[in-house]
Amino acid sequence: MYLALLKELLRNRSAAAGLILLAVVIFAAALGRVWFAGDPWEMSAMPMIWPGQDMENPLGTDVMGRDMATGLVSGARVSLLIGLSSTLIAALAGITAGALGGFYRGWIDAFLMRVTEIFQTVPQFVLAVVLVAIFKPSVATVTFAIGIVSWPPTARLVRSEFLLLREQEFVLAAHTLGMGDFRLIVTQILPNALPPVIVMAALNIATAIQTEAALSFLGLGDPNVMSWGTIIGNGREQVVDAWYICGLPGIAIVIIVLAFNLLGEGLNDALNPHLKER
Amino acid sequence: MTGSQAAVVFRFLRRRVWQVAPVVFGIAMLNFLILQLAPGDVVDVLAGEAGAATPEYMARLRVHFGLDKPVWVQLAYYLKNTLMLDLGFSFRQNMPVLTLIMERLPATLLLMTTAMGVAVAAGLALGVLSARFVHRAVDRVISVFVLITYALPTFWLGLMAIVLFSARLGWLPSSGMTDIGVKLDGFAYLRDVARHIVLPALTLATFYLAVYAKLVRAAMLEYFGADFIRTARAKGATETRITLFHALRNALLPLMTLLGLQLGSILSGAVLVESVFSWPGLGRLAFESILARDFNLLLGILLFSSVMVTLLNICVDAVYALLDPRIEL
Repeated sequence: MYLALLKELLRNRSAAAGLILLAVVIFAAALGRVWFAGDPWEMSAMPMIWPGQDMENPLGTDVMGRDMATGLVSGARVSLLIGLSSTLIAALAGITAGALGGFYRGWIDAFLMRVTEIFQTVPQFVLAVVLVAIFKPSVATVTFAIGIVSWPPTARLVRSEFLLLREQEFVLAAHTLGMGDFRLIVTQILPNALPPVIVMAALNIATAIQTEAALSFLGLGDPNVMSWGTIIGNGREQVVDAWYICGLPGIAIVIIVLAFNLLGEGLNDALNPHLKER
Repeated sequence: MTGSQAAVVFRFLRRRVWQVAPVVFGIAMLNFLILQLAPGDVVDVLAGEAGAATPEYMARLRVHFGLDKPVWVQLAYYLKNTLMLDLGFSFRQNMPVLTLIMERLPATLLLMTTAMGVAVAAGLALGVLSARFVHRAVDRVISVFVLITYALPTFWLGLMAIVLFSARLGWLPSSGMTDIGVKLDGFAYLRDVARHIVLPALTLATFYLAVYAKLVRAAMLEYFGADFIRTARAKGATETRITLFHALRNALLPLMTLLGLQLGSILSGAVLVESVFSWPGLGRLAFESILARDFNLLLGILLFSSVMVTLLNICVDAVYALLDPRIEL
């Protein structure tokens, strides 16, 4: 089944483009780990060497003389790590809330929907800022904060899928056979509700990576970790004299976000073929 | 407005306020929960780093939050304060939080509405163009543009715009809302603000422009197959007329729905854009309070902006009813 999906994805133009871009980023990050293995915080050369000026620092150095290439490689790891793990948190929270609400309906659903509504009303990024600022910036708090602000759409989606699926005959059949609620939810309904959730997760990774970059741009990143947003935030005062310091990590963000957006679109076409004509 | 219309509007507002009340209550609870879960007691958190606040201020805060009382009394205190719009005092800025917020609110509203105006207008134009010439060159170019714009981080786009348009080309100012040091009035003042708002508003608008273009294109394509369009064609309306008067009017509805859903996200975007362009609004205030570790102010901004989103949502619903006569207020 997975092989078939992969084949379908490679045939789809946007998914293939997304996968290729993603592979390039991961390859560059992995290769860079070997090539630019140094500490991204180390001041290794003169400050503000432009890219291509000195082969010791092929992508130049920042305001403090730290190697840009090493920083970018470190940033790739941080972005992917936080993007994936916060999406996992959001997906788990959203699936749980959506499944419970959609399956049991009644007051549980009413309560969960109210909570979802509250989280959708609060400006997400401002909430993330507050959470990270109050609980002290670290990779864990940033991941958690992004996860917390991004679960509501998944919850709504899973809920609506569950509301439809729970009335289907195969669910009734499993129920008649004496299957308990938990097994019914996890083994029968959830697998059928999952395809759109996967699409949403792919798109969510893109948003999460942008949110992480924005947080660390504002100085709310983990102070021990060099991420793309950190580099941009540190370079912004000198942006007029040395735009490449902000420019390069920004281009990296655009590429990786583009990759996940394309992948999400492709997954959507592959998993929901009836929508293809749109 | 006739008497009965006023009554309809009044009834609509009353109903919506009752729907909004639990949400606002929930947001206040959320704020309280964050404060309770934070490391240290509420006052330690709110006063920021140790040593920054005077003992008198800390004592005043403790009384304000009723910290010597059990948690549920503290919650009652918190809710009462929130209900009376008493958001506390900012130690760093030496001013009540609400005053600070109110001072900055107009700038943010101006930025948000300008950016949304641009995003809706340009998004509609691009969406209509690509739907009208679907799968042709124009559509392809717009699709690629939308795809890339969608991936641009707002704050980065702002920085790059500063490099290009203010530093290299020198066309537009890069920060603030007015020129510093000159006192202008009347028309000259408006001109000055207009010059300053161009870059931040366009930066904020870019992402939403892409979203709207995509949405309008999809909605228009769907309507092109609908019966009422076929009728319009059959009675001999031109393709342009069908596009602009029949399909577009209906495509406006999903656009409004999305706009309403995205109000919170637009406000979030404003925080970033304002901190890049030093636009003196709520976002800039939030950025300053992060730097100063002024958490009471930060929480006040979170609460206030959430309430603002609910209020703006009511306005969006009213516009929705204006656009579609089938929907009643």
